[in-house]
Amino acid sequence: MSAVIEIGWPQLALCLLFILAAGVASVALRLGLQRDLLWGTVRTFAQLFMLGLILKHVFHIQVWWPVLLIFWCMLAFAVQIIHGRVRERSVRYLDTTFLSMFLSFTIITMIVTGLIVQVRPWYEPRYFLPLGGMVIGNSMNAIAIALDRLFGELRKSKSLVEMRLTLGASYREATADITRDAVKAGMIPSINAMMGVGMVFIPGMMTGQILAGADVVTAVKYQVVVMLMLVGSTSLGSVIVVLLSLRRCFTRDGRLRL
Amino acid sequence: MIELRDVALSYTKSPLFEGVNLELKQGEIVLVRGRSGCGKTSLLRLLSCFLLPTRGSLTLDQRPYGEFRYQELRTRIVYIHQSPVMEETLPVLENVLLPFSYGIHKTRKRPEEEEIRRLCADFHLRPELLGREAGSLSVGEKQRVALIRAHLLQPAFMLLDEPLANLDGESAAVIGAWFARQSLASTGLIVASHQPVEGLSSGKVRILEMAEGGLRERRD
Repeated sequence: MSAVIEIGWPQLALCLLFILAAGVASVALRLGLQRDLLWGTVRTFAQLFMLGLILKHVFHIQVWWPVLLIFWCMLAFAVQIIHGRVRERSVRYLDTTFLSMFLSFTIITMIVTGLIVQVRPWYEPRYFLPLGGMVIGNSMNAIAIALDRLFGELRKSKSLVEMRLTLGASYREATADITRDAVKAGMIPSINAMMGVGMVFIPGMMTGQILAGADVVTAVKYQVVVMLMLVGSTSLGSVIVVLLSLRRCFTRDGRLRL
Repeated sequence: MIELRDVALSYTKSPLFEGVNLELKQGEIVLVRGRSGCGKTSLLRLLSCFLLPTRGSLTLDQRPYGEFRYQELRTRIVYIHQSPVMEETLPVLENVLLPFSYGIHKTRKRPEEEEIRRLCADFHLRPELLGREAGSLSVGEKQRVALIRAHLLQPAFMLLDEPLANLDGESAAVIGAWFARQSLASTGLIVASHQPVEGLSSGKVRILEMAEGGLRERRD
């Protein structure tokens, strides 16, 4: 195994040729994308180098609580993104969303670092934060899908749910099929991802490890861990968020809030 | 007995109705009349706890609504939607027995198929219908199935919202005849309608007129 090849600064600058090509196309075809291209390039450089700078310091942390604190800050940002995606304003679900992500994602990431990869100590930021970041980034889609489905279906089937309630159903009984659909909608993408992985492209993390000179088998093992971990976090996250948020859709006296 | 004390309901600044005082007794047949939009549906939804009054209180047998588990309250006061709602993909029989799959009714005895067939005959529904998917029924047939389903729960009150609207002639006649047969039985019927209801014109029916934000008793 060869060590990773260093990219020099002039070579990195050479990459700007790609942007230049896109810029030429934008001018020639009058696409008006020059400004976005320029701004996007600047942001890419700035944001990633900033992240690198932060990580460089963070990776030296040898205490558990700052690591978890950073992880939970990432979680809070994810909740904000979900809030922007789910278009439901008559039910409060931000706290239930944070709580379910907090519980399921923290537990899953801890299991992966402490038990499966056996990082010592389990909070070693080099492992905990990238793995936890993957859990959050991928599973927040699942949470958003599950919530969107839950609220959407409840609105669509309002009279059906009310009919069940008029006959003495509890709110859980009246929404059993809707709850099931919502959880399923959240889980399916990560299950489907297991079907397609490795057939069309090499997953990003595995590519990174191979380029960095890791043994291919080791890279494969890590990728398998990631795939299965995502099924776990999307499932657990969808179940908890749907159950907690469903309660919020009803008043204590069994009226639908939507 | 359901009691309403000084009940008001408003969606906007001006109330839909206010100062409503009302006693509804078990075994009574009550017809709530009024033009559409005057608040009849809202009144029924208040009675079945799908709406909260802006002011005033509701009690069932002297107990405030809030003291009941909502499942229990809705079992004793069953509300039937204007356009009947069914589990469209389930057979009619399963729709009729649906309430008995809920926790609150677990201790009750499930009705015998014999009894269901007899009720079907009362409502002029062919027994083969019980095996068909509920989605394939006409509105009139669904309305009759909804009545059978509610009747099997032996509620203290049945709330019917425009039960004859959108019905074909036969269904309206059958349901009207069923209304006419209801004597002062154990279930109280509260029917909201903007049109005269067949079978609900004789002397035993109590008529409430809803207009100008209030509710008035009328004897005729």
